[in-house]
Amino acid sequence: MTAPLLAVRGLRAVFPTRRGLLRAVDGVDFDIAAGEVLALLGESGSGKSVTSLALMGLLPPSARVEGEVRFQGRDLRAMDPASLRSLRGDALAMVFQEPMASLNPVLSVGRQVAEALVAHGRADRRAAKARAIELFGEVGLSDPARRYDAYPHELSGGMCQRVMIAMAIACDPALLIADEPTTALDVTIQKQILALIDDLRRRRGTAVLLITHDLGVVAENADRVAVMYAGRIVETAPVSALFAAPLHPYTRGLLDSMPDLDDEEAVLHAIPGQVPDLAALPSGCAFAARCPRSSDRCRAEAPPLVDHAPGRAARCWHPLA
Amino acid sequence: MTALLKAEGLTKHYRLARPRLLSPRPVLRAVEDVSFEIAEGETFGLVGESGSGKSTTARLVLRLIAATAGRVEYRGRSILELPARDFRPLRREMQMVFQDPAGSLNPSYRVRDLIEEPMIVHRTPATARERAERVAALLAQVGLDPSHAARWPHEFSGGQRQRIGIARALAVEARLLVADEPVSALDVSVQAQILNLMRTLKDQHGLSYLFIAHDLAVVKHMSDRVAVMYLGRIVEQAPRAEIWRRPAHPYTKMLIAAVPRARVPDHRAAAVPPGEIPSPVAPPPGCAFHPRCPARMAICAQQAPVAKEIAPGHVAACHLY
Repeated sequence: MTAPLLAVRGLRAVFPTRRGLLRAVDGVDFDIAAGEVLALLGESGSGKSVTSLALMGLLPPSARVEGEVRFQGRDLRAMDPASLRSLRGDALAMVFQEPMASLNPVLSVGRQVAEALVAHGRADRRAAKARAIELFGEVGLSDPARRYDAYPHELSGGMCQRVMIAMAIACDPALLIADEPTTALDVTIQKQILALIDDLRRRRGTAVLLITHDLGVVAENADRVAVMYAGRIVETAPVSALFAAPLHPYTRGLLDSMPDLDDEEAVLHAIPGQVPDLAALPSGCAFAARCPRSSDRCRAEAPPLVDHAPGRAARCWHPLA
Repeated sequence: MTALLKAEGLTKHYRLARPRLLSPRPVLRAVEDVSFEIAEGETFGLVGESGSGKSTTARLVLRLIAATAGRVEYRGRSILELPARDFRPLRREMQMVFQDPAGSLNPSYRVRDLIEEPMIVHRTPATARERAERVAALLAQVGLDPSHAARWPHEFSGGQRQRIGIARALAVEARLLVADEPVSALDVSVQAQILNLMRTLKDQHGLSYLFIAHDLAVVKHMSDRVAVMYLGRIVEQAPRAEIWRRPAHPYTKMLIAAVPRARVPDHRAAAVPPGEIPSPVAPPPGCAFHPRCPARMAICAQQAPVAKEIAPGHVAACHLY
């Protein structure tokens, strides 16, 4: 078996705060194969976004990051800042939730894409403009030559996200990290953007780390899922297996608490309580206080991530099924 | 059916600043000729994407902004032109629940003061002691610990703050709650708690809801009847089961198809909706949806369709019918 495109081992990100150490990411392991879409699914505070920022080396200096991040065989955590910078936006690209906030408001969107091409040595100034217009066509912006001179405020949220994707794929990345890429968009536009990302993967073989809180988005767009809760992966599974029969009670709870267009439910099965304080995590399982299956053992001892079947693992003393 | 609230031809135009000296002031048509009724004890859902006018409709109904045209009847009385003094006792019965509980609760008020404030404004109950008892009872009803009355809003999580917002709306014995995206800022697991709470309170207090959300599954879960808005107009209105099983308007069909589905295996392949949502400053002529519509005909670009009843209680504004 060939080495995965990205291998993350024992990733931790801890922030010192006035209330003590905030464990945003607490020992995360996962792999992504070339051309694969892995979804990191979680609610706010689960650590999914901090995970992506940590592996790209984008956390502020106050964060204490540990662990190993191997990308195309190289250890990103051991890389000097200059080499890491030239890798980001090149073989490793990122798309964020707020396309408007991620673009420079005083530079035309075309110039921004062209500058990325020049900065990574992919084109000289003149060729960069032509290439940027080509990329705009590829991401489905209508009238790409005219869009080159548009400013972010003149474009809709969906169009700005297309610009961000054009910039991300400008250097033909091997891995695209998409952090809630459609959360700020309307549902019909969301479908367009997700179809675009899927199309890029098919044509270019780009692997995608899709970070989202939306179960429907996971179901329709990922090959595998890693469910995060309170800084840890609590379950990993192929998408169809996860939705058919989740192993972790938290995953089950998420599925049951979601209103469903295809079902008539009088009462939603809400998960009681709320996400624990990351600066004061309990010593046992972080989900124990909200879990219908919890026992004394769960409150005393944190469960390890245990393999249940090929590609399926759960961090639970009392898994379902 | 006795209508608690009746909106007829509700319209809101905003005149924008001149783009250039001496050029005419553009008009943003936020809400255009919107009519609907909410029966006593009913939940009426308004769904639509950004710019559809659903939030503006909510504000018009509550007289938080002045209508350009149209009328609103509450319990048979036309309320838009009532003098403020005569409107005040009615306003007490019509309360709003906001999207962002953090932004709508004054951070310098303790929880008990936040919930007591509407009682003081409406002078009911009259004595401080009765009001304190009522605050405690309301906190218990929305699932919060009455002993937390002395805490500040920032000490609560998002879901708890939304509970405070609901307690505040119920403080003066509201009959109609206008809830504008009440759960869209919350995580899935907490969202289910709030939706369940709203349904329980509705039964206990005999409330009616105008329930606004962009999430179709949430609207479907909550509503007895649903109206779909697009660019300021209601394009379709029907009982809940009818609109999901037999959507008539091509926009409703597109919207439903665009929602990612966790439990429909082949849904991934559903058609990608074309086009962008047009600007409400320059809506397309005729039917505003025609540029994106897969079923458009010649007439659609020329003439706005009139709303027609296509089945009992099922109204669509489309030239197909």
